[in-house]
Amino acid sequence: MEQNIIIRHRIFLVNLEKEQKFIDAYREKGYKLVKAEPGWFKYTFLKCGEAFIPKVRIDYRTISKRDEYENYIALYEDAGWKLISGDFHSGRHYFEQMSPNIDDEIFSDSESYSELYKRLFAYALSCFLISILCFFPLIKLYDFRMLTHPRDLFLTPGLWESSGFKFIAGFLFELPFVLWRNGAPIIWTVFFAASLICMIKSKMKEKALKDSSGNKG
Amino acid sequence: MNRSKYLPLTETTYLILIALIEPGHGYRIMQKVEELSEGNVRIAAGTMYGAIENLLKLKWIKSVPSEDARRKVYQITDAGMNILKEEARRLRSMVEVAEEYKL
Repeated sequence: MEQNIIIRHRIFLVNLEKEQKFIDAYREKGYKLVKAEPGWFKYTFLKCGEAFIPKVRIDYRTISKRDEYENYIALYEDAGWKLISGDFHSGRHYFEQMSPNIDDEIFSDSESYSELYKRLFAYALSCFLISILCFFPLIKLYDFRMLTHPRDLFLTPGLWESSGFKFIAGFLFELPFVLWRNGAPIIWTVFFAASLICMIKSKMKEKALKDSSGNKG
Repeated sequence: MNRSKYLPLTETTYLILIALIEPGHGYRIMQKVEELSEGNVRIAAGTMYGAIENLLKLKWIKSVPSEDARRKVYQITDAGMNILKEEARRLRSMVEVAEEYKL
């Protein structure tokens, strides 16, 4: 018997197009997105027997007031897009088509589409600044060998000279201790790198879209 | 004559401002713009919301009290009306040029 519900974990960060394509690929296989939890990198799909499986589109926007959020959702609903995942403090909002004759896209010009990536950039920038601030209390814990000589974080003598099962067993045995000793700096490094990558990617995307709208006009 | 740095307006902005001479909520604007442009300009939901936000920031439109609990209603402001008139003047002179050359 085929599975009715499938749960997939994927990390997309700021690549909304790739995220939509990933969701579309399941749509083509007859699965409908029922829940997206980007904070947990988790997507829940349901096998759908109906002929019409709605397309999903993602908007990123932070709205601080609840009544403004209601107004925002109402506009999408009037235009034929129903909210499936997201709430007023989540930033990412997932909408599905309410009928097949609704236009495929939620942005009708590349200028407003580039503004989407401008908002994502602002978010990545704030994460980046937070990570800079968090670095100061961490500076004493931070072991720079982590970047230059990551192997030195492992203390087992001769680990890197061994091979095969001995190496794998030794590596896996010590890994939790390495993570325990360097947990905060490792998490910090991942957060720092991810926010930096997001900044660069969203800026590049925004610029590409802006250029394409400039050429038209 | 020094003209506003915001001119020329995009077709979308121009039509949204015209649509908001009468108060209306977001979806009403979308419908009206489609009517006004005889189906040529269709604004999608995300673009519409962003456009409203930008126009509110420029103070060319404002939010007015509405009976609908969920949907906000907007209307053009005096500043918006001025920019719209200036744009209409610009467009008319463009058309005059076209007529001179029998286009």
